Amino acid sequence: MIGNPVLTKELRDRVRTWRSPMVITLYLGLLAVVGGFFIFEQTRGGMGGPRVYRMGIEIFNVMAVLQIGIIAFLTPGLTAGVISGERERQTLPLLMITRMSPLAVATGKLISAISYMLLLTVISLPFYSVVFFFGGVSLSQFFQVSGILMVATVLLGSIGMFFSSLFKRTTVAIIVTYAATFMLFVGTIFLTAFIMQITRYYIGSPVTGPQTVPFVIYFNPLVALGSVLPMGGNILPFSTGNLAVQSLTPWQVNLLLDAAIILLTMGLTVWLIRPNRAGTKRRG
Amino acid sequence: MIRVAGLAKQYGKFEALKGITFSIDEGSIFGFVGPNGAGKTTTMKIMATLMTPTAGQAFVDDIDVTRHPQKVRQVVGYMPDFFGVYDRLKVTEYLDFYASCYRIAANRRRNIIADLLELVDLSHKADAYVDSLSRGMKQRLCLARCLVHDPKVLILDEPASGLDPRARVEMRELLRELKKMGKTIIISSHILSELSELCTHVGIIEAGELAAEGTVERITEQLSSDRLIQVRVSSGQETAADIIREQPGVAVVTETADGILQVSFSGDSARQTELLRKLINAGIPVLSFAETSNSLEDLFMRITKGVVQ
Ligand SMILES: Nc1ncnc2c1ncn2[C@@H]1O[C@H](COP(=O)(O)OP(=O)(O)OP(=O)(O)O)[C@@H](O)[C@H]1O
Ligand SMILES: [Mg+2]
Repeated sequence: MIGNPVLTKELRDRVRTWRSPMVITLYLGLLAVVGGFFIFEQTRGGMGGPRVYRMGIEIFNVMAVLQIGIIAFLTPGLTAGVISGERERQTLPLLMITRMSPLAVATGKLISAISYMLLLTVISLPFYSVVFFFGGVSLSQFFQVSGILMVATVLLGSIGMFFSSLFKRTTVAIIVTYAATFMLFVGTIFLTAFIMQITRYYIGSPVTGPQTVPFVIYFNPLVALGSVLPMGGNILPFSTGNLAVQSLTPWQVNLLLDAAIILLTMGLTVWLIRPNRAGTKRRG
Repeated sequence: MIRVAGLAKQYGKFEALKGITFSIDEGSIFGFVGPNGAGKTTTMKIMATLMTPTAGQAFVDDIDVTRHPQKVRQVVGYMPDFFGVYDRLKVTEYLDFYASCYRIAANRRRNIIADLLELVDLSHKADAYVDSLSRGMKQRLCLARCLVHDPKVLILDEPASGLDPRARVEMRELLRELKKMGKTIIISSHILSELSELCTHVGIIEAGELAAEGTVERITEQLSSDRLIQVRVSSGQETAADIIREQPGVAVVTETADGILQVSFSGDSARQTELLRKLINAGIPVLSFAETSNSLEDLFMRITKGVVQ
């Protein structure tokens, strides 16, 4: 992968733009402000007893949600322009007639976007040390959450890149990618609530006991995050309902769905940028 | 070396190429001439493996472009009719990027790039950002780019468009240099005269069909059996035109300016003197009667009858 020229070029390009330092500053500032405010709020009544034990967990939860929010906010912007930008600059056909395979181009582009998000995560690590200072969160939980955030990045990144190769114009690709991201995070919740309402009133379900939550909710990355976070119930959508799949944990189902979406969108991207198509004009 | 047989391309219902056939020998420079929308870019894109033909075949270095595109890409350097440059990238980085995309080892890239910059006369701009270059420089940089993997065949789509006269001459010199290096070059242009000095062979394409093809001499010969005579009269232009039209061998008479008639004429010298005598006998005051060289532009205008706008 290190030998991927597209990756090398993209990374250099990202480091070279003025946006990088600005995004990093904004990101760290946001983490510091939110984290600081949270600690201040929680410790106003003094620092003692079980509250301090919960403190680490609570900060961890807040940071994880904040981070997935930032991922949802930044990843589409980082990836939705990678292919359409090449089309706009008319460099895509030139790239595709080299010995780079469409897959190598697509993975190079995706990995560069992900490395950027990874960089943001790494520089936020000092904040996590606060969590471990308070305790209550195990290292394995930390890695699990990191893994889920990582998968969410790859997911949104590959969706962004797919739309970037589908539409000719970057602006269209960005708008559609943000819409898709919104659908995943918010749309699925509305759709789930809607389906639950319908089943309750028109089909009629047991009045007592928890209602079954429709499968769509598994597409929501918050399901994965909520099911691994300690005290993740506040984040897990419809945590009181019965989830559709009982044999697997929610994050496992979500991960399988993510893997399917990533494979599909990557496959389509590779197909869309193949050389004898790169030279033709595109819609959008 | 290069062979195109019955190549056709359809965009939806529109037939951009209607089955063209030609072949190019190794080491020659083939000029591809035609008006806007004739199908030059389409043909070149197919040969550069960026497009699949609807019908027909194309072989570059005797490799089928649709069957083995990967192999073709290694022997072809393609320069499209646009720049395709990245901003925020320096000239050497730009070339290094494409060289690495062609899987050229890092230790060889430095020398290759230095040589190429030398060749296209951009060594002094090695550390400049690509988007700060002038149009002519970008054009030369793009030429350098399609040479990074030392291809045998160069497909250059209008490499001289938008260049000033000096830069055009320089570009022509550059291409001659490349020919000496043994490259087979296909180059497209709207302007036949621009190519006639440079090319060994010319193909004239119009509305997706090859109107003429062959060596420059043969095409000129084949198309210039017609002579072009310019007649200048001080008065009686209309009568003169009528008299000329009645003569055998006269194809077209155009009244280009006040007192000037352009006569397209096919016939021997005897007929030509006969023509002049007829005018004098009719009392037309002839100021001059001269055979103008049948310029390539005229030929071009006549072959391509302006079917494509
Ligand atoms: N992607 C496309 N979709 C539909 N029609 C196209 C497409 N590309 C080219 N054409 C049409 O095919 C015809 C030939 O186009 P082409 O670009 O090959 O001409 P050209 O000879 O290169 O012209 P020019 O001198 O203007 O560059 C034109 O009529 C053009 O409108
Ligand atoms: Mg063209």
